[in-house]
Amino acid sequence: MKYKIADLLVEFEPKFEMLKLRSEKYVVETEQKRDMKIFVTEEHIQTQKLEASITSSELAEYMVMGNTFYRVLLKHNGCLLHASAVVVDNEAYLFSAPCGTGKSTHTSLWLRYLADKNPYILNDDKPAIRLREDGIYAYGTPFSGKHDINENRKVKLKAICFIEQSKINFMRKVEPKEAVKLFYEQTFQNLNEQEVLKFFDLLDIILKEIPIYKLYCNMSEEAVQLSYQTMRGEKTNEN
Amino acid sequence: MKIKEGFVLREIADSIVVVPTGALANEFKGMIHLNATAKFIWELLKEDRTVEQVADKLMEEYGVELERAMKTAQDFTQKLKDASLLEE
Repeated sequence: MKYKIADLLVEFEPKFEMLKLRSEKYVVETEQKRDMKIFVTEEHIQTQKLEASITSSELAEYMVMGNTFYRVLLKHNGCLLHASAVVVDNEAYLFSAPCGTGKSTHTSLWLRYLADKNPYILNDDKPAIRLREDGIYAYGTPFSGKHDINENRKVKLKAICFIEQSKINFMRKVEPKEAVKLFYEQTFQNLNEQEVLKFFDLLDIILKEIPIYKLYCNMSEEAVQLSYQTMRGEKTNEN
Repeated sequence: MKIKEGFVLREIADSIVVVPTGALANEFKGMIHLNATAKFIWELLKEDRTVEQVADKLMEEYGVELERAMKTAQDFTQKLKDASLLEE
């Protein structure tokens, strides 16, 4: 089967339902040359089960495919960020943090309190970020967490925000130096030397072009207004 | 003494960072920030050197006297040792 994910033509044959169903919306019919073909063998599945302490082959296949896809994405000027990506006005806002901090909670509040702007979740767990000739984009992928929340769309990356829970709402800009560590902690694990250097090449460019913020927040409407108003920046012809 | 194999040093965003790769990443999590002097010593320790040899190089590079160079070399290599970054 051929799939178009993050503007890459990927070929693979899902053995199990989870991967098959979650990848369905990315299927394409095309004669174009593929960018990559991925095989997941029984051995890969068994290794993944051991490493992740899981018993489901279905889940293991899904995880292996995801890991492999993002590693190949790196070769094509892309990376992943462990974040929930929400889109407003055709721009993607990524909220990143360690598991359980409240990234998805915060973006779900965007859906509620900014409903009049028709926001949607592009990828609730691992948006692909890719550097193209005409800019930096975030993408939905089949690899978007437990609840499989993603759209097969490509959206200009507007800003990235690292979240921390807090009693009061407070937001600040993050300088590139600090952002390196924050980003690094929420991206690929276990890269080899060549991959790490490539990753830093990409990160270098991302940090020059994309504003990075830190948000300390509770789960309130005020938190949403704070993050949205701060990250959307100044608009020239509307408030 | 020598730094363990598998660390990558990269200059990015006005800072110098070191990260573990491959198998080393299972042992070490996270990222180290170095200043310019630390980077200089780090690069020296890609090869096996004694503290005295490092101090000599510091004297050569920075024009400081032996006492100061030895102190810097000792302090930094001790930090590396404490963090288990040097080969046994």
